[in-house]
Amino acid sequence: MKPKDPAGQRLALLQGTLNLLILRTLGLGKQHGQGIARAIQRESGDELLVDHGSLYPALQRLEKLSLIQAEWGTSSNNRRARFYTLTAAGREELASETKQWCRLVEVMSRVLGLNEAI
Amino acid sequence: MSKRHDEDFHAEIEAHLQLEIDELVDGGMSRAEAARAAHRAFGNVTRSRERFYESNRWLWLDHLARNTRYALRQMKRAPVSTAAILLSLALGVGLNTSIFSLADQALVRPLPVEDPQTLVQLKWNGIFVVAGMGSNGYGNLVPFPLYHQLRDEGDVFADLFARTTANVHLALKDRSLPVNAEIVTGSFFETLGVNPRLGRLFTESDDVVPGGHPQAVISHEFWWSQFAGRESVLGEQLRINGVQLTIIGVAEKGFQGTDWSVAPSIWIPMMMKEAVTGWGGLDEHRSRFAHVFGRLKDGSTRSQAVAHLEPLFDRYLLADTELADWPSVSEDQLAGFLGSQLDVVSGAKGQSWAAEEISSPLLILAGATGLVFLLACLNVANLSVARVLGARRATALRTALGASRRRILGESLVESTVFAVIGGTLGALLAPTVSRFVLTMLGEGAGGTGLNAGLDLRVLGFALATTAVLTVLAGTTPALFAAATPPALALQQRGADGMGGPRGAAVRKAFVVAQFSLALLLLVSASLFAQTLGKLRAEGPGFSTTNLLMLEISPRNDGYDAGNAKTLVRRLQERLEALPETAEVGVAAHSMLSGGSWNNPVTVVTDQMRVATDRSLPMNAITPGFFEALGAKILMGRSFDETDSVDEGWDLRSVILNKEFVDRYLEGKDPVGGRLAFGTAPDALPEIEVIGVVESFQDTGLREPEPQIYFSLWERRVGSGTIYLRTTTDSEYTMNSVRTAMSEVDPTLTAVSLRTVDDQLDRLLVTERVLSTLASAFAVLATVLAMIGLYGVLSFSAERRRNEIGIRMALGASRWSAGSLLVREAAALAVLGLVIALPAVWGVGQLVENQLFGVQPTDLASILAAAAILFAAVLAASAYPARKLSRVKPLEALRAD
Repeated sequence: MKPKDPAGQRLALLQGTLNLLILRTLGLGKQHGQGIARAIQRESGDELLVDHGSLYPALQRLEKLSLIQAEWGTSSNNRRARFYTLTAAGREELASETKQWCRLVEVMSRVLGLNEAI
Repeated sequence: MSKRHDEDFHAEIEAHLQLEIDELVDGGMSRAEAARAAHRAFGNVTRSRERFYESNRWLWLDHLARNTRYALRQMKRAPVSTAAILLSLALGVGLNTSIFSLADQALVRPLPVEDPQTLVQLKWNGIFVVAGMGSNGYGNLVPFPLYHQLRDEGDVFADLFARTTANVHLALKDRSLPVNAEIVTGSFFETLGVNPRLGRLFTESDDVVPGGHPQAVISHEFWWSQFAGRESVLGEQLRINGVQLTIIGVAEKGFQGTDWSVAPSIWIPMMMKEAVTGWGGLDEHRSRFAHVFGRLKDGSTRSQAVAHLEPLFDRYLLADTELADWPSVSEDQLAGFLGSQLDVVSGAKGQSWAAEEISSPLLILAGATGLVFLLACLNVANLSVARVLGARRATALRTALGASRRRILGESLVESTVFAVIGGTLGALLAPTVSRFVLTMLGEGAGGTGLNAGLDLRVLGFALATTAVLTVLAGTTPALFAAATPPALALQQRGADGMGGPRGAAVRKAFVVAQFSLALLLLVSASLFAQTLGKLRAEGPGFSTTNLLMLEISPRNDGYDAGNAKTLVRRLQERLEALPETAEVGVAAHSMLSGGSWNNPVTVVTDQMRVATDRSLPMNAITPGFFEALGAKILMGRSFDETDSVDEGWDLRSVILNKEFVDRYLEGKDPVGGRLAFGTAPDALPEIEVIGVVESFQDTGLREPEPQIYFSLWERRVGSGTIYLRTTTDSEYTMNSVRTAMSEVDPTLTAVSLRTVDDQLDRLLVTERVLSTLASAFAVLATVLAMIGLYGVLSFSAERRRNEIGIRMALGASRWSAGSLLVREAAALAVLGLVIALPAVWGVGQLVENQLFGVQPTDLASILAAAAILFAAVLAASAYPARKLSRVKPLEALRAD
């Protein structure tokens, strides 16, 4: 894995997409903050790098909206960590946000004249 | 969801960093390298914590606490401006709340009875024809037979009652106590909807047979003060004016009858009026003593009621003229009488003579308070703006260092709120003290005892809300500008936008001009009122009041009848004359300088002319010794002596006129030997011989010299009277001898009052004194406030002009010219303020003219004096800033920026 310059080559996250990514990651199961960041990075094939500084305010926001809930637990390597899980409302939000996202992509592609290319 | 702690969040971040480090170490990094990488990836941990912290819902509270601490610190840093703002707020709120609360109580507040707004009162509009003798009352008094007729025949009122008042004596074990009684018809309590606290209240059946209902209801307050709230008080006997009355009930707390200024201790049935006061008058058509209140039938309006009453009242008037005791009157009087109308006016406020007495002074004071309030508001605005601008550099610096605009605004918002809260609280604390002071000054004589120092919450709320909004607006608006100023500009003090620039300075100068206008108004008014009081005092009643005592007695109320009362008064006068401390003693039927009098129109016939007076004139009945006690000289004829006396009843045979009467009605010609009659009818038969003319002095009031008529007290019945004693020593010391002498003559006799005539003068001048004192106090406050405002503006102006002065001085200007620059600026503002105020001074003068005496409403001396005071104030306020400016060192000033 050759080192990448984050500013130059990784994709910047669109406003609002971090929430969806977090929900999606938690949709796969219980995870702590660092695990979520890593998972997003891994799933995106290293294209997306989550700014750890903005991750926690986002988690805080989602928790406040009752879309996710948290409890302290122990990580696989025996570290204490705060684990997040989706709530029922979070699951619904994930479904509807995913649908929204698909529509957005479709519409954006149409507008940008990319349909044929895809 | 419960709130998360900061620590918890911190722990989570720590866990995150550890997990990241673990993973990086697993990937082959050294631990130290991994730690650096993890921190780098996380970014600014502190910022992250802060962002968490700020998402907290309770943050505003934290900010508030922090900003409040900051505000208090700032306030401590600028104590003068802090004190000035707080003083302005406290005075504005305090004076306003106090005076308007009092005015509300006296002039606006309805009676504390059921549904006061539906209460109505009858008012006789037109001419009332009195009998030859009797007092000439006011329009809302009606003769009692009219009340009877309305109650029995009219179908206009659902309820109706009549009431009058009396001063009675309550006999206690060893002495008697003068108390206020309200004499009422049986329907009184039911109509008002007042409930008993104990026992029962009068009903119709308690007021049927004249003299047949020896019962009384006492007030809640009297119950506590006299009977300590004992429940066993029911059924106990009270000896009122020598008549035994049984207490049947106690009225509910807070009920003070229909006149707030004369709270009665006791209520007595109308049918007992004659037995208790010695005169009933219930069938008397030719005199009127009753106030009639009632409630209209459902759905009926006052104007409908007036229309309904008209035929009934017209019949009453016509029937009146056919009665046997109808006096002979002139055509005009007859027409005026028959053309009288019975009006139905609102009775919500009850009937209060004191309200009429003090309404003008209270309204004037309310106006003055309003001006002080305005002045205080201008001051607060001005000073707040100055504060914010003063802190402009600091603000700019903080903005440059990254403080957000919201934060700075938040701070000034909190600071102004702290000011408003502290100032408002001080004002609310100050208000009752001001009220108590005013009430003490008003005293018993002008309704001071009927009002309380309690604050009206609506008034307080208004004052607090107004000052709070103003303070906050004044505190935050300039902060808004300051925060919008690019820091670099503000730091150089070149930021010409906002309130600091020329436009802002103009606004602040306008404030100062307005303040000087208001201060001038108040100073001139204060001078007018002070001169009025001074003139009234200086002119006095026309006789020397030094070492003059007055003793008011009411033998009729102490169980004497008309016959033996005369004997008693004679004996008392002789006994008092025998005291070594007294020089002369005389008795008058009516107290002088008490504001009230006995009035009648008269006709005088001399050998040269027959003159009928154009109005009712004040009269009094006196004994030999009276003029001597006052030191009044007999100018023509003789004074009364022992021959002017009858044994029983009324038989007025001799009369003395004063000089004013002779000058005004008799062309100054000697009337001795002429005759006088009551009334002005063409067939009035003058029989009373004019025996003398006395020099003019003031008997009833102080303002106008009145034509005055004196009869001999011994030629009429004696019920009550006032004994005047000229003493040889300080009269205060003689009071004890007088009391002893009185109890030697009759230990049961009550001194209704015993005081010096100087004291009586004070009571007569109470409204003038209240006006003069408060107007002066307001004027001083206004001047101080205006000075503070000017000082604030000048200090700021001086700061801004340091540069300019520095250059001027560098170019050779003297220190003097530097300082005088500022003084000239201040004087210009003051002059502008004075010029603007002049028309208002004229207007205010017209408004208060009827309260003035011996001084023109546009008194030039007052205006000049006020202007002089204000210029002194301008010099005082500008001295310090000017001195500071004149000491500017050119080099330092130029280097400063």
